[in-house]
Amino acid sequence: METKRKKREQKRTTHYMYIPEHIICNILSRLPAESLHKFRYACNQWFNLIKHPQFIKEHLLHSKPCLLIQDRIVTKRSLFDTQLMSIEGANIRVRDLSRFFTGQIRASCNGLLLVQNWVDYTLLHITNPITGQWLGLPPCNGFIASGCTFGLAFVPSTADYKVVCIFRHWYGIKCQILSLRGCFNGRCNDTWRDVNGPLSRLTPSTMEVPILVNGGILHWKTDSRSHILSLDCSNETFQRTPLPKCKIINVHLLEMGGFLAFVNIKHTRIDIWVLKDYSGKRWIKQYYIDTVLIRDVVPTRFLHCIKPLVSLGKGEEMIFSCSNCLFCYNVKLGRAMKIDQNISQLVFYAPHVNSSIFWTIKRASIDM
Amino acid sequence: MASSSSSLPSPSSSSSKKFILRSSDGKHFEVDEAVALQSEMIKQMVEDGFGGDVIPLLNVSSIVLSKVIDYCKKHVELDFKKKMDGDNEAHEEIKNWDSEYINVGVDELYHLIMAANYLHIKGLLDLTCQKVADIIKGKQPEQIRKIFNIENDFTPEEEQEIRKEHSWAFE
Repeated sequence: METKRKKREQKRTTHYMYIPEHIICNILSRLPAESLHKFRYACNQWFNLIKHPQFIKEHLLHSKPCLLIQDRIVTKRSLFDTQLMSIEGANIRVRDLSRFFTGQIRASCNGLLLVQNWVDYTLLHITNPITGQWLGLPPCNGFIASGCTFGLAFVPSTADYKVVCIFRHWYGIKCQILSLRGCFNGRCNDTWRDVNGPLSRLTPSTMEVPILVNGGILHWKTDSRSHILSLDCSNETFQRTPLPKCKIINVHLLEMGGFLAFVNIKHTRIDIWVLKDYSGKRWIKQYYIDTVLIRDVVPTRFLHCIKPLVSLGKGEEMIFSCSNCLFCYNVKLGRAMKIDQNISQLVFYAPHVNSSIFWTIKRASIDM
Repeated sequence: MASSSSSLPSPSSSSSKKFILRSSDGKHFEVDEAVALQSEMIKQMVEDGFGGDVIPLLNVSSIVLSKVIDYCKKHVELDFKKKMDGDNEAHEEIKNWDSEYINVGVDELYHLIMAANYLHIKGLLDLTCQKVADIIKGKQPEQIRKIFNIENDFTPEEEQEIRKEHSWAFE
């Protein structure tokens, strides 16, 4: 009996050794980043495969974005409460990451986070919470300025990550960019470069995180109700992007399926526009939400304080905040659902994916 | 008739062109054109002007082939339904049917993967790979080595190094 089972097991386990590498790749690209990180030392072949830029790209396509929020609360250890929320149908999973982040998260891209130290705010680092690795960044003039906004973008054309800082200077608004190309031994050797811009008549909102869309383009809300500020991180040029021509009370921007979406909240309905063509500055009205559908979770008198935070699943779900609570709206089902999580003062919110991007100490540059 | 390719493939129509597939153990399966063409490999053969009546599938046994045909048949039917009744309902039905279908043992799963790969049926390959991923995701590296019959070719020092280098942040 015992030997029979052993034999059966033997037979079962040896089958999978014949699977071709591209199928192994297909299977591994569907694993959560946490599992990948564990399996990377199964053998040399897997180790090399998992850190290959092409594989990382493939894996990112399968990873489902979650909502990462940081709320300001004061405890002994930190000023922030950090939560990661994933939505699977009617199930909302909240993971408390507070103990991993004592600093303030300033930007998120492909699973990498830009974190600012909460005691000495001139200290910045990039970290991947899945691999636990981190990279210290050189100080930037902007940190001492009163208001600054950070962006982190992946530029596909050069396979490079760039950190963007826009800050107030005594003679106006300035922008500096740091490329993460030359990162060695967990330290970044590059220095911040001044870039031309941003455009003088548009002041980006320093309170909010810019929206990162496909192609390494960052979009900032500005103090204008007709235009936003956009930066193409590949050629480092700014652009004034006009908003759709309609009556706008508040400008809400978010990323939707890789594009920029503009959400216009009106009394009876919420219009969602998508910037389909960046250089052509062409907006398309994607769909609208009838406010009757969210009345269960948001009483009409609170309608003016709802704010869209992120869209997940290519726009299938949208997460809103409303005073101190959160709710999720499913576009396909046309149904809103309250999220059991109270917030006090959100300092950061962005879509986040768990990824296995890491930079090896020996290879010395960020893979991918 | 099959020549009017613009019309929607109806799953129940008996008038469409038939193909005969021969498994590695010599069994014959008669299927509709739309079902056979779910396989990119067969589609390519037909486009390249394969004229025979019987398509030999040397790498697929009859047991596996009948299971693969079940998949293709159902998906032709559901794709047709999707076109007729709209997206939502059919999408849900496909999801439910797929999860029921793929509830098989690891041996069978292996054969399905290899068949899907050989026949180039992308949907089935994705489904089977996802299933394997779901099975292994909670396992330990030692168990993974056993399943895939991988030899640990790191020296103990190297392994120690990697573990140290990438200390686990989320647990």
